Amino acid sequence: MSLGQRGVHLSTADADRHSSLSILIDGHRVWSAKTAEAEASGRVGSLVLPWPTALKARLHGTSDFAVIDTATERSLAHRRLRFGTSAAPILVVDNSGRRLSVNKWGRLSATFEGDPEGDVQARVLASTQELIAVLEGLGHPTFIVGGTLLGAVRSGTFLPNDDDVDLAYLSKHTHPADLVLESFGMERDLRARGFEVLRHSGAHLQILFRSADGDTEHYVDIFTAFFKDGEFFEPIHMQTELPPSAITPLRKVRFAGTELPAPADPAAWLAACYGPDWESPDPSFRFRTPKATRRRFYNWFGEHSLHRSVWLDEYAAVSASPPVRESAQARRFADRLGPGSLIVDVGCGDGADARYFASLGHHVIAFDFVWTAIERARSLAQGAGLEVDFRVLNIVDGRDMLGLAIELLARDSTVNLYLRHTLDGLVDSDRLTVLDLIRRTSSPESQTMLTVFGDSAEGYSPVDPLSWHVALRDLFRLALENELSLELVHTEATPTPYGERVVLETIVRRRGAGT
Amino acid sequence: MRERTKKRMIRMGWKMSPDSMAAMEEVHAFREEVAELRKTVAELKREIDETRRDSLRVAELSDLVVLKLAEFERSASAGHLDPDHADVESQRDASSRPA
Repeated sequence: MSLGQRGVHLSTADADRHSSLSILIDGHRVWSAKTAEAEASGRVGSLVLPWPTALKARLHGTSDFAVIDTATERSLAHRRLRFGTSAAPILVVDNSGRRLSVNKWGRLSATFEGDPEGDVQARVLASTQELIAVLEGLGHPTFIVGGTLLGAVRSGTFLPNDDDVDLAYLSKHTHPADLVLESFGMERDLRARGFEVLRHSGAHLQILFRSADGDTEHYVDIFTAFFKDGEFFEPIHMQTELPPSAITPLRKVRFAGTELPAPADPAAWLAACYGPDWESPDPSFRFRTPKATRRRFYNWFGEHSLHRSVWLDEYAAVSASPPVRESAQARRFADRLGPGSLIVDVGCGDGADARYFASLGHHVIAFDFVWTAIERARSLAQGAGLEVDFRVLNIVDGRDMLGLAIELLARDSTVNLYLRHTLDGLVDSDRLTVLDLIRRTSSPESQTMLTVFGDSAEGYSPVDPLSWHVALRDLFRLALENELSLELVHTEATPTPYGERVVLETIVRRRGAGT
Repeated sequence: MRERTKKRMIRMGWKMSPDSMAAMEEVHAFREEVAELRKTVAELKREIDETRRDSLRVAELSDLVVLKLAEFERSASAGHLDPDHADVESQRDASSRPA
């Protein structure tokens, strides 16, 4: 077994001997992986576990790397590796200096392992207790699940490789519409009590807790659990024949020096969620949710956070740089509009174009589902003395889009929509939602500028919306299907991190409206 | 020419091994049936997905309608019937949160 620039190299015999490996940089665990996930390296009998994308982005500098067997912690290989030209040590830490490791979703997160003094753990525990008390006060029987329950049963405290707290509440409802409505109500109740709530789906909320500097320090997940037709469901993973007696009556389990509510039979819950080997520690554990269950949950409850992490990373990266100027597209769009027009910037990011429109005296509503981008946009607009109505709205959330459509129609003024590289970063169903918004809110005088990448990117990835595109023929088809007409007004080739790409700039109008 | 050769081969097959030929015909029929059933399953899956998605849509619409009507009722009972104002308020409430 050896370490290299590509990742961990191992033989098929190594893969047979060790089911899971952990990789340490300067003595700190950054990643655990199953050897069964190793890829053929090109040489017979040789495999490679490539560095995960999230970690690879942080590998700049020189450090001591080690591979250990996850179960036995026996050292298997070590090597000093240099990535790039820097001799400085490789630091995989967040802005607060907390050590990060690759979590079960393949993203870097601050695990409890990186908090040896337990300061964060104490705050997470306090947040958890507060949240449980609030939820119970609201009539929702709440209990610990997931990694939190596993930690409680295994060691009576946080799992070292975990990064959050998982809670579930047992709903009395069985119909998905009732469950979602209950979750909407819970979201409002929690907001009314001052919690910052992020919706991941109709049955999954995440409560964010910030540090003094405004960064998200920790979070607590709340999943909706319910019984339906003899089965126990708990998004995002569980559809199982667990009897009600495995969940209720809830019982108390010891956790980090206190007691937290847990399912009646924690072992039964853990076996149903993690499989029969749940008792063996495995930091490389990844959920393998059956396709049928994924389909069921996706259609019942939606997916409100699809690729949001990509955009969060994108805006976190640009937040360190000075604000960019408005785009050429924004200038060309402004040339088309009369004074004091109403512009809705859909997917505005950190709002450079929205601020430009406002600086020209237009009335601007600008929204994005990445709240960090909107926070930056608001602050930059305030600094520039500009009035822009920045909002956090999610195209996936029907309430947000219909609510906006109702508001715009009630204003009784011409609505002009501006979408710069918004449609290309959306999945098909969300593209249709946006076109529906254009169709509903456009009057014959309205103009919508729609700019997309028209050709495929170098390094296209189905999980990287920045690499997606919409071919012109598809734009025409989408416009036709939504009673819209499309006029191509400008094309150019522009350099991007994904190679040179063709930009299509179009004006969309309601069919039959004059050009 | 090719068609004639093919037909001759088939005739020969029936003369030499009628059981194998019958089995082949049966496999062919099964293959067609499996293709048909696959198509039906795909259609049913799409329909199930669509029906399941309706639940989410119903919940979103119900939530929105109840909120809007409540705002309208509040405005009406407060004596200043101003739906525009109510809309702006509700969006402002929505916009202060992570979506």
